[in-house]
Amino acid sequence: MKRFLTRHGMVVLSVATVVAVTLSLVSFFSSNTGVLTNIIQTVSSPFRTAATSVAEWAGGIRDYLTEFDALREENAALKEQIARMEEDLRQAERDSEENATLRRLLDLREQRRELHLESARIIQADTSNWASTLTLNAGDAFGVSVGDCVITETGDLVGVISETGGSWSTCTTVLDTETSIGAQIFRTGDIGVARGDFSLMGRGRLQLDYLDADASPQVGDLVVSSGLGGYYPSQLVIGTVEEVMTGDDGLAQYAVLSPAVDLSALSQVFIITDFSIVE
Amino acid sequence: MPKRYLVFRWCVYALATLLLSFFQLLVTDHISLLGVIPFLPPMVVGVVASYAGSRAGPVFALVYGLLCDLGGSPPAPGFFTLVFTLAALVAALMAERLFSPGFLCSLMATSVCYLLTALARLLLLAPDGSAGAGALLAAEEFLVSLPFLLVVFPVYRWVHRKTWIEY
Repeated sequence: MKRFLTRHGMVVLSVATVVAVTLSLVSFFSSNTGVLTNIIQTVSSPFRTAATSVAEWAGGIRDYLTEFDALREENAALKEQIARMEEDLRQAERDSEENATLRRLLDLREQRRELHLESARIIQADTSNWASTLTLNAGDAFGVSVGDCVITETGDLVGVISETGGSWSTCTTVLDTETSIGAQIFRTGDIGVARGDFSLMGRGRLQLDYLDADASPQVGDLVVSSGLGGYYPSQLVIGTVEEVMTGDDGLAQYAVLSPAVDLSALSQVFIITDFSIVE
Repeated sequence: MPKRYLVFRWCVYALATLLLSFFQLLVTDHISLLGVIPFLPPMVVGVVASYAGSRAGPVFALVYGLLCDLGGSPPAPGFFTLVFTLAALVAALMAERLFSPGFLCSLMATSVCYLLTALARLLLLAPDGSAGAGALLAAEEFLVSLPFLLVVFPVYRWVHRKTWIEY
């Protein structure tokens, strides 16, 4: 054993260490993805797309067979919801007109919200217990860069781009423990930080932390991105408050959020490559 | 051992591993028990190490770990390369000395690989204070993944039997 470890075993371990250190150095010094990673991701991209398509197809058949009644009920509920939302929309249009008139009277800058979007398809949902990431089929070549927000067609926040390559990028979702986004409770304006948590990730939930002592979150409150610092756009829907908890110290409170987006049902997303917001 | 035979043998191992990667993508990634998804790579490393031995096992683990690092989302750059190589080395040595190749041997080697992978992860999580939650998650991940040894083990046992030549 000693002879083995001093010869073959140590040689293999040394090679592994050199490879690991090289990868670390490449990752540390390179602002972009390493060449090898780019090659592997590009080569594996069609296979991942194929595997995802097969899984979606199989899931579709299963859903067709098992969820027909549930979908019929959901359809009826959605029709009711649309009717209510149409009324809200008409009211919102009237409010917008009134708001614009008042702004003109007060000589305020006109509100503006321009998001430059790049459409992308999810080629793989990297479903590990330790991270929650999505591989998208748009990368550097499409103007995507690290830190760009990823949203759904309805403006719900999916996550943030954490890595890019030529024709692919990795989106770290809102559930991942690496994600940390300035957030705001829509009803009260209380500021906090929405971030992933190990104990909640498995349940598909995240945490709203660092709330002020006088903050008063309530179950059902909508939580959106705060946009503070100008790093991420504001008003992107993160989720709703599901539980309000008190920290281990018995003083600070935090909220458990149910994300607005259903990550398992996503196939198409939009990357905000640039934005300009005046509020 | 003839070089041509070695190339053939490892090509079959690579194909079996590719097949199991597709199995992970298509099946296990869509299974969640109590919010925990089975994670097969440490099992692949453990079972191959138990059959390939302490010479070839760690080399396989090094290449496999490198591919996991480059194609996936490792917790740190080079994490799987280093951890899988070390795990394969320990598992193969233990398997060679304590057990004859078989299900029990693969089970023990797999357990060692999960344990070392978990310890390395906890080492990275310790500075954030998430090691406690991480340890619980690692234990759950091991328990949820373990039944899939009934899938992974027969695949490599078949490969081993079909490609093994005594010299």
